[in-house]
Formats: sequence, C-alpha cells, structure tokens
Amino acid sequence: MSIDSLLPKWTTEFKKGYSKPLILFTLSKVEKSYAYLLTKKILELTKGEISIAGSNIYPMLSKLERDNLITSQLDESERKFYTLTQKGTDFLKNLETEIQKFNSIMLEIINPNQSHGDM
Amino acid sequence: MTKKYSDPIDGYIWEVGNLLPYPEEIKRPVLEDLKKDVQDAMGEDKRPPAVVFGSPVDVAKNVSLAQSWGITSASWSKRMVASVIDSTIIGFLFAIAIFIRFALLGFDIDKVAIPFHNMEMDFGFLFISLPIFGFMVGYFIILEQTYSTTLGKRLLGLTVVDETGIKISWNQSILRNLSKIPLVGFFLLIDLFVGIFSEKTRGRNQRMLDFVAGTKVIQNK
Repeated sequence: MSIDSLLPKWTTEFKKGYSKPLILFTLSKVEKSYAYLLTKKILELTKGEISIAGSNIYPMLSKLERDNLITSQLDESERKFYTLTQKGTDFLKNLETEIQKFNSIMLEIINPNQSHGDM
Repeated sequence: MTKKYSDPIDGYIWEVGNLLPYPEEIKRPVLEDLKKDVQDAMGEDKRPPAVVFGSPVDVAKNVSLAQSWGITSASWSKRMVASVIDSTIIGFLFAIAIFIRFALLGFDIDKVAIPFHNMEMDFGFLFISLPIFGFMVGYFIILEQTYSTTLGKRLLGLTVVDETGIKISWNQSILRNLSKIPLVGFFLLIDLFVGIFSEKTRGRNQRMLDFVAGTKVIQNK
C-alpha cells in the first residue's frame, strides 16, 4: 500500500479517537447543544479537520449519557439537547491533563531537541 | 415497499424508520428528533438527504445502536415455542396439500406436458409438492425479511434483526434460513445445538447460521 493511501487511513484512525473527548470539550464551551449542531460546532472548532458525519454522533452521545458524563433533556419544541453533567465536567478536567501529557510525550518523541513543556 | 413523499426529508425518515423493526410508539419520538437533525443538516442544500446526512441504512444502524433497541436476546425456549407454532402452520398446509394430492389421484391428470421442452412432469410434483416446498422455504425467508418476524415469533413478541439491530437483508434472511430447507432439515438440529452449546463461549444465543448471517432474534415486547 502506498504512503498516499496509508496516510489518510492512519489519520482517520487517530482522529476517531478524539471524537468523544471533542464532544465533551465542545459541550463545555457551548453549554448545551442538539446532536447535529454539535457535529457542526466540532467541525468549526477543529477548523474543518475533524468531522463526525451525520448520524455517527448518536451512538457516541448515547455512550456518554450511559456513563453519566452528559445528560439530555427536551426543550420546549420537544427536541433533545445535551449538557455536561458535574461528573462530565470533573472528568473533562482530568482528561485535559491526560491529553496534554500524552501530546507532550508524542511531541518529544517526534522532535526530541525542542522543549515541549513538561506536565 | 416504498412510499412517495412530496418532502424528500419525510421520505428519507420513512426509509430509516422502515429499517427499524420496532413498535411505532418507541420509534416515533426518536424519528421526530432525527428529522429535526436532518432538517438542520439540509438547510438550503438541494442534494438528497442520503447524500447530506448518510445512507438510510447507516443512519438506521446508528439510531438503533444509540437507542440499544436490539439488545434483549430472545430465550431459546421462546424461540423453540415459536418454531413449533410455525412448523404447525406449515404442517397444516402440507397436510391440506397431501389431501388435495390424494383427492386428485382418481383423476387422469397425473401427468402434464410442458409445451416448451416436450417434457412430461408429474402433476403432483409440479402443482402441489413444488409449491409446498417453495412455501416451506419462503415462509421464513419472506416473512423475516419483510416483517422481521414470522407468525409464531410474532405471537411471542420475537423479532429477527441484524447485529446492529436493523431489519435483515434478503441475503441474511436466505442464509439464516438455509437449515430450514426441508431436504436438509436435519441440519437445523446441528445448527441449533452448536448455537446452544457455544452460547457460553461466544456470549450470545445465536444459532450457528445466525452467527454466519450476522443476525439475531430479540425479544421486542
């Protein structure tokens, strides 16, 4: 397989790993959102780099809700919107630290001569 | 079975809903919410909803997974009772066919010629045994693909779905019902016993051919 065809596959793989954290980070910024608007906001925040296509967000939202990290309610138009729970907010703080630690290690491996700010 | 809708979004939602073999009352609020998301996604976009939001099959899979609709497996005992009911229905029709077959023995029409090939076919085979054979095979394949259930299963609230919880395809329906073809009927026992005895190791109660076809039987009510 050529580099040109391998690279998009690998990129998609690691971007997928960021989907659920991105939902939480986005919800912490917008406070509440509908499912589709979340995907739009994520696309906007990631400058078009990460898009959760169409309905792919539903199983993720459902998993986050089962883990009590987010909660859903119906608004006056009977439409479901999502918000972060207290557990979700606390979890996000810890996740943020973990992501920064991991990214710093990765950057150190990629470019060992530069300082990347130890956590 | 497709319906015509003047609004393409309504048609799209109908297609998604048609792939979800669950009671209307639990589907409706979810599909209404989905419709609002699709409307948001479409905006001023003139392309078909399936292009903008994803194919109905993908959307139905995601909706089903998100709602965890297809996770309550049907018990073996209920499946067997359903199977007995279905077999009784088929057996009853078979008995009628046999009766007709014997009733017709007195007439001198046991052989009929097929004009195209100059062949002689047995009347009983052509008009009774063959349709009954077709019915025995088709009963499960057609009902499970079209209505996601059979009469026996319906009475016990059982539904056949694919692994993601959506309606099964024709290929899946044919594959999972191969062991019910009358001439290889003995294989159904092997199919069933392998399913029962491997339940612990595989962590799910599927017949062997369910496993191969990627289908399962769930308790829907």
